[in-house]
Amino acid sequence: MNHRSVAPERKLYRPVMKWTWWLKKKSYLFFMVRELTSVFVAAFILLYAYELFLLSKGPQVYDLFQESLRSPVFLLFYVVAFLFALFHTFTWFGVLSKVQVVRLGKWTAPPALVTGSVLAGWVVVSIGVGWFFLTRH
Amino acid sequence: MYKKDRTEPFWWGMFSAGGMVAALLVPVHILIDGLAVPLGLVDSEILGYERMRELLTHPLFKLYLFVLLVPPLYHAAHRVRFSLYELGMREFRISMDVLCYGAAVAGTIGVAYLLLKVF
Amino acid sequence: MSDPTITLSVTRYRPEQEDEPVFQEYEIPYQDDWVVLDALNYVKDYVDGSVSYRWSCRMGVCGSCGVMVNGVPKLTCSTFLRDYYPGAIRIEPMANFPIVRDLVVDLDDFMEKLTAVKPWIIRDEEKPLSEGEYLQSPDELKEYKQFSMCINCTLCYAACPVYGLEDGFIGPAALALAHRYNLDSRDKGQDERAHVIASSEGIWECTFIGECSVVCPKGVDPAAAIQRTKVATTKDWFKSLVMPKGKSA
Repeated sequence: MNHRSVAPERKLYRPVMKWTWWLKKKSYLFFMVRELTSVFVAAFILLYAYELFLLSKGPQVYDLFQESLRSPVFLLFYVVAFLFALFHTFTWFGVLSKVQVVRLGKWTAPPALVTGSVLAGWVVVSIGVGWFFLTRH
Repeated sequence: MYKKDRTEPFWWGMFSAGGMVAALLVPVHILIDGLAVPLGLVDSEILGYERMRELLTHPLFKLYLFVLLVPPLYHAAHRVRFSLYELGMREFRISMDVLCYGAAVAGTIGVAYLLLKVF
Repeated sequence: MSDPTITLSVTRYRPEQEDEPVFQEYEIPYQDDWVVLDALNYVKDYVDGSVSYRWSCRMGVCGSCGVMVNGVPKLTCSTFLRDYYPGAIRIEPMANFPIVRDLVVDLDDFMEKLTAVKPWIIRDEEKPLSEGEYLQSPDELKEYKQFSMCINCTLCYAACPVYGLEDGFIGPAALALAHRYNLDSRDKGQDERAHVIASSEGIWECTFIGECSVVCPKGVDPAAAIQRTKVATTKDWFKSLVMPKGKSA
């Protein structure tokens, strides 16, 4: 017999969660900042795409925009965006070992090795990209 | 009562791919494009008009730019979508989803058009 | 010099006399080897017999005694007073659940969700007893062992903001247990569970905040279980695009 059908009506108290829940704990705030990084990633992409668009419009327009990138507003934006991008990189690589278990036959890679390898890979890729853009003529 | 969701895996897959690309490539690009060149730390000609137009004649470079610019849009769209839920916006869920992913799709079309038709 | 004391601030909710929870303070003797459960039992035995709370094994294996201690989901039997002394300790019912009375919450929602993921071995055909037991190697056991340690204490639900915002979410423990059975070599129930865990109320609600794994007293790491399920489900989805007849619906 389902005892719920004969139990007296209970008066349950249901707490309501406020939309500011993420301000209540450091770890929740960390999470929100992590999510916020994606906005700066998107902003970087839109600006880059815009630069490509200006590139198609001719040297005067493009060079004018490159000049405007030296303004304090743009520089500040890119400094902030850089910090958020780094935050994304480190938090993303930080969780990869949880998301994907790496195996070779019977051997399972320790999480620290996975994280370390991906970070090393990132450094190599970054240097590669930097080298490509900075040295090719 | 519960039904396997048929579309979420796609958006999550794109979020994942975009997150990987963003993690690997965005910091160095911001460093070069947004900081090193404008600040004069490196020769501004590396991003100059002539050089960029020359690079854009190579299909591999266009492919690289497509990978750099497109998947992270889906990463951002997915994160913004769920962040809006978590900031309390649960009404108009469908409209917000369409706006987020729609923006990513629009960006994809824009970038593809630039890389394929314009250059 | 008088014996040391510590103050407990305990949520009281008596539906017959109030509409909202209130706090009641109790100053009790402090002993440095006591846990919060000892303190609550002292209150119930000597100070105020009307306080209601759940507990059982008093050693961290039954999952009964979950509460919020200073805003953090904890088992009262495993939380030492000395980590808070001399400060006051605030004891509230687990977050994100309806409150029945004082520190007792209604766990029906969790029970329904746990049942929904079918946390048992599912076979296409049961082996007859005469054929003996299902054999499993130590390596096969290792695959899922960590996720089998769940004691259903629901601290992870109390920690999960997504569950707090959206109570349709199936939640960390249920999803971790589904993963435990999906990884079990004796189990054939992946497809059956997929309808539930890969629904929009399942893994896709999770945004990997990770607090569930932080508060888990048994090291289950439900967050990892959910992310791995997302990866597996996504891989299957992309595979089924290429080979439509490969996987069943």
